[in-house]
Amino acid sequence: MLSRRAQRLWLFGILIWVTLALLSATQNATWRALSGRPVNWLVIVPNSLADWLTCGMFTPAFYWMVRRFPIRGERSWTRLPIHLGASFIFVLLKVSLYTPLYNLLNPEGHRTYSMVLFGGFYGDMLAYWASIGVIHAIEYYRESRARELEATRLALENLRAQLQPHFLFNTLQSISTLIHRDQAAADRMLTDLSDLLRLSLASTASQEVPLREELAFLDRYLDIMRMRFGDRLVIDVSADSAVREALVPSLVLQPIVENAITHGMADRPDIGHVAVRVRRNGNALWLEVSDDGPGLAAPPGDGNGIGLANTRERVARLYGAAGTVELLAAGGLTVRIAIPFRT
Amino acid sequence: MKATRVVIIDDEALARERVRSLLADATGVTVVAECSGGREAVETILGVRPDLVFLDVQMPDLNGFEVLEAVAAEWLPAVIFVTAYDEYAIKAFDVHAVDYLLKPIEAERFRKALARATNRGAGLLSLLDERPIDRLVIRTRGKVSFLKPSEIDWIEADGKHAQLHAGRDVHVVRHTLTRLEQRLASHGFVRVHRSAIVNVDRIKELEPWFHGEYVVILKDGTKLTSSAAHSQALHRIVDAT
Repeated sequence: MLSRRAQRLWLFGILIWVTLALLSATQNATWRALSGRPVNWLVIVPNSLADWLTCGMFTPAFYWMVRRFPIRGERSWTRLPIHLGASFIFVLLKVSLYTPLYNLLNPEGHRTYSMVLFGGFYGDMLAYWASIGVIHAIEYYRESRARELEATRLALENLRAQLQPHFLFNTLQSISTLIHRDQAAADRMLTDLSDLLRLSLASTASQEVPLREELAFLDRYLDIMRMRFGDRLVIDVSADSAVREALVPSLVLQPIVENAITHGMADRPDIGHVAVRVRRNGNALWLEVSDDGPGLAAPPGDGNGIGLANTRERVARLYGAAGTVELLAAGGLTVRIAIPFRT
Repeated sequence: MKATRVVIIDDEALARERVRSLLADATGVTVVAECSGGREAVETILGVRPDLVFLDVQMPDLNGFEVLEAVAAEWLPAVIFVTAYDEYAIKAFDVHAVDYLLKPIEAERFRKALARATNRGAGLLSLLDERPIDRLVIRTRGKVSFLKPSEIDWIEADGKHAQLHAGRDVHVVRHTLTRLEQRLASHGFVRVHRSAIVNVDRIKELEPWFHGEYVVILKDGTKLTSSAAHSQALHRIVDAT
């Protein structure tokens, strides 16, 4: 069974070719009428259909050619000779199918292969290139739609990762405790949480932000975590002033830091150290988040993998092969995101 | 009347403080200890044997269920779970009619849960029984550790408890053999006898015995007799591997 998309494409293809044949027949009939010749639709329409539909039969081959040798990307011009060759082969094949058909429909006016070939050479060549063009457009549209959907999905998932309900409710719990004892602290925490929510809602729109903005966001988050965990959490953030304007994917650090906090405390709930370090390494910017937990030996906790998989996907999407996400186990665990250094 | 002895378990100090301050308004309740992690909680519960615990579900080292699993064989207090957000847990609590509180904790709901939290039996145990097993929490020489199903050689019934044989160690857990059989079935365990479950991986050979029974010989030399009633299932699984 064909997929619904394939069914639609077939239908669309057949419809296009039949329409073209009928338009061409009308044009032919009009021209004949204007030049005072008899118009016999029963001759014109079958002839036109035979001509156009023998072209149309090759549509799957055109599709295959576009998929296999798309004229796009860096070395698109190298594909042109291939398609030029293919267009010649197409015309030769088409004419060898069409010639006997033509002679069958017009027994009184016999034509040889060469006559048919050179009679319609230009039109058939054009048919090949026009088809290739249209198929490129269809494919491009399909891909851009898929890309768009994927981007939306990632953005949503990212948003969910930022606003882990766990984090949210635990923070609210802390605030509800502080209200009774230390109203100033409760107030501060509430403001931090609001800022965090506002920033994470705003930044889903923009893919990249300067590092200093990303660090400001992280600061809000860490303020809350410090209040929640007190002395048990030691977090150190360092970034050279030279890299503070560098562009980084928005909200890239917070989920990794959240993982590190959980991971760092998995073995030893008494105290956890987390270090965030951003520096330049040649043409690359390194964002490193380290914890002093059990390294790679620890069982992955709830949802730990999702944040990281998401980050990988985002980095790959934004930077291609120039962006990498590595896990380094030395003592604890370090997540290193390497992206091109740009400002 | 003797005061209800309470332990508060949560990895966040502010969350414990909230429970403590809500308890301050209640009568007949004494907080005897607070714990900031799962391992500490296991030691404390077994040490002070409280009547009631407030137990956070999500903690970095051991989660609330695992804490309960580790202590249940020796001491099962009444439990009020506290959770920020955990759909799975909340569904389980509802199914087994176990008391729980959502963060941030509402005072009125807290009072109701406290008034009710005296039953400590069936709901909690059935809650534990139905949890899928990824790792069992056990105590070896007073220390909490984890045991993966793949590390268990065989399991022996021991009244209401079960003995897990893993290498040279034997761990006692508060589970019936039938429950363990159900929970471990997907990990390649098979019942060979009314009172024994075996890790299929550890079987070295089957020696035919009388009346369709077998002697199951494990890789470490342990010999178990399979009963006729269980031989068929045993055979099927061994053939399939």
